[in-house]
Amino acid sequence: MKIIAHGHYSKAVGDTVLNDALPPLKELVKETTGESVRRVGRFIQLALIGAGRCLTLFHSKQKTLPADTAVYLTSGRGDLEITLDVLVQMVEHDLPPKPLSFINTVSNSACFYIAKHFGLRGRNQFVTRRHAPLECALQLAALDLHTNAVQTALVGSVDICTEPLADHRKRLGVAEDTTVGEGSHWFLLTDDSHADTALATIDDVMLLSDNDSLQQWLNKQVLDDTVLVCGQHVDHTTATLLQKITGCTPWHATADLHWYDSHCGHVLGEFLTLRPAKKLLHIDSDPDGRFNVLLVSLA
Amino acid sequence: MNANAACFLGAGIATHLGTGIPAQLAALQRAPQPPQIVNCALEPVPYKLLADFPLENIEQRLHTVIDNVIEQALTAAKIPDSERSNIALFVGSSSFDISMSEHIYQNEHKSGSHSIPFGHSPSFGNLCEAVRNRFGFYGPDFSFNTACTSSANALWYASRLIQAGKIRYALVLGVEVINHITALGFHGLGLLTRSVMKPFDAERDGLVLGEAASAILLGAGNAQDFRLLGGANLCDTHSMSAANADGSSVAAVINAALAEAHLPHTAVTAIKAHGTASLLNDEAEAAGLLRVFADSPVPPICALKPFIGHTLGACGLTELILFWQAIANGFIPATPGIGADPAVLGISLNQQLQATPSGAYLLNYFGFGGNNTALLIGKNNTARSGK
Repeated sequence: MKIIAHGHYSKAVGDTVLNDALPPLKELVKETTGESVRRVGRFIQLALIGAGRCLTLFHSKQKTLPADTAVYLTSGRGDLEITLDVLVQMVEHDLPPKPLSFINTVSNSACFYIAKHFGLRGRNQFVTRRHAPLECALQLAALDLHTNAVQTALVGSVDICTEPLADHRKRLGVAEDTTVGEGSHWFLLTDDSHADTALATIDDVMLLSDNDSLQQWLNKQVLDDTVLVCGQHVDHTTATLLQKITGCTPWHATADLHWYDSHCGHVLGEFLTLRPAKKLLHIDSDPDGRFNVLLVSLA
Repeated sequence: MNANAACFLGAGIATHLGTGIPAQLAALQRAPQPPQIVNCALEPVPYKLLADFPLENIEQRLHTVIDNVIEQALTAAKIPDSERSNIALFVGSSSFDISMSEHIYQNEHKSGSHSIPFGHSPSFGNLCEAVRNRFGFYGPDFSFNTACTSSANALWYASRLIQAGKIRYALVLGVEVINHITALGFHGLGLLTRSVMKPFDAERDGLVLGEAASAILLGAGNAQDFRLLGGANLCDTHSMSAANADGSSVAAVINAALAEAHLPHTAVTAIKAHGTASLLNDEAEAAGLLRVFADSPVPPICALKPFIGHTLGACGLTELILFWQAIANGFIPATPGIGADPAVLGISLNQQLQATPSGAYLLNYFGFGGNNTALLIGKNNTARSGK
């Protein structure tokens, strides 16, 4: 499948230089989408900003987005801000959820706002995987594109920070001095028949169940002029081993500076923008010894 | 054997009606009962709780019922243990393990200790990870969170990945257990009734929440095995919380499902309605069905929520298993006295147990966020002409 547009928002927060406070997004939403979107939280705001930037790039090429474009949204933690607010109000203040807050705890509320704002009426999914949310969504999009069930797919990966950041780090399970981040990374995809407008091709995105499966998969790949990025869950020893067995040049995208579940989306966005090599190989692991691989070639 | 067919090889289920398929089938042949009232922190809320899993030991209860239904499904499917590591896992839920997070936070708060809500690395994927580890599933996993269509979407994609040859076996899990956010959220929306749910009825006044866990194993089977014939999912941007009352978006998703199954609407011989007994959604669903069946009689329609409550993210798979098993055992569930009058919305619910004609069977699901899904199930030899 081909990537024909992409757009991003990414921000590191809580390091020694930046203020701990999360930047407001309301004006950015208006700037990106052309209108004020009221009564939505940070998660939906970020989704709109990222998708809006992706589609602005697409529209700048005088392209019209088909109304049956499918939307696939993913996230590691979803709308933590709204869900936390509802839970805290309920437990600490004995207040029931406000109706709109309750509805917005459902992750696909963000999908609704994306579809409504950009005039989309196609299929619409929120799907995720614990250590590889973007790869998981891309797998469903690939299925739909390869079977001609859809012709255009809008895939986004969104994760937010919540305050206080010390609590947020505990929720993420990262060290107290870790710089965390938030981001919204969106990719517009088509099937292989649209090669003329493609920025890149997603050659493969899949989950491999163990070391042997990974090795067998690697043996089939031609990895010349390829940069390797190991995901956030790959330990140093495994990363070194992966560099050795793939023979690829390690590449450190700026996303390595801050931790969030949509890390893979940032890496892919940076690769498409900076074009450090012909191909990107992104490998992440999980505690069960499985590997999520993503192989992308520039057009 | 159909190599890339995603047949229903075995299922497990636990609802308000009981645990296991026989308990469900027995209860579906009796009249639906009113809910019990459960104290949910701030408010008493009508609920249809799991029949056989007492509301205690909350942090273990969710996993206990999940393990139970998965074991049922694996046992019924009779696949060798050596195949377990190849199984891909698909989970559909609107709340996943939030009941556990709530419980932990409430206890910490009560004890006066420094408590962080969701302080134990919350993630949608945690439930999947725990299940995979317990059962030794090492295939890919997917967690769907699309409100009331979650496990319907999970089943649809699981079937299609098998058909595409990407995976061999899929275990689809739908799960929803009581949690205070959901209970009080629906209470706050004014969508709950304390009586039996009455979908498509002049006296319909809301829904009852229900708990459920269900599992199904999909894989290659025989021509006579039930399977998913087709499905569709579309986004209705009319409203965040209700389908377009003119029925256009409901009709669109049903027609898209028929197109994926390569079936005419006349091939449908029975329907499982979403039937939430809310004013607007029943109106939209009835109007949508009348659009699809504009030139032919509307097939018999059943609604299962009066029996088990609205099981939200679990209803996609749970109601599919109930409907499939009822059909396979020769009857369409009936709700005597409920939704009986076609003058109300133009359609009526099945009023007495009746034999099931062969053909394709339509299942509707509509969720918050405009997420609409329609599925068609049947056997491989379902008539394509529909005549």
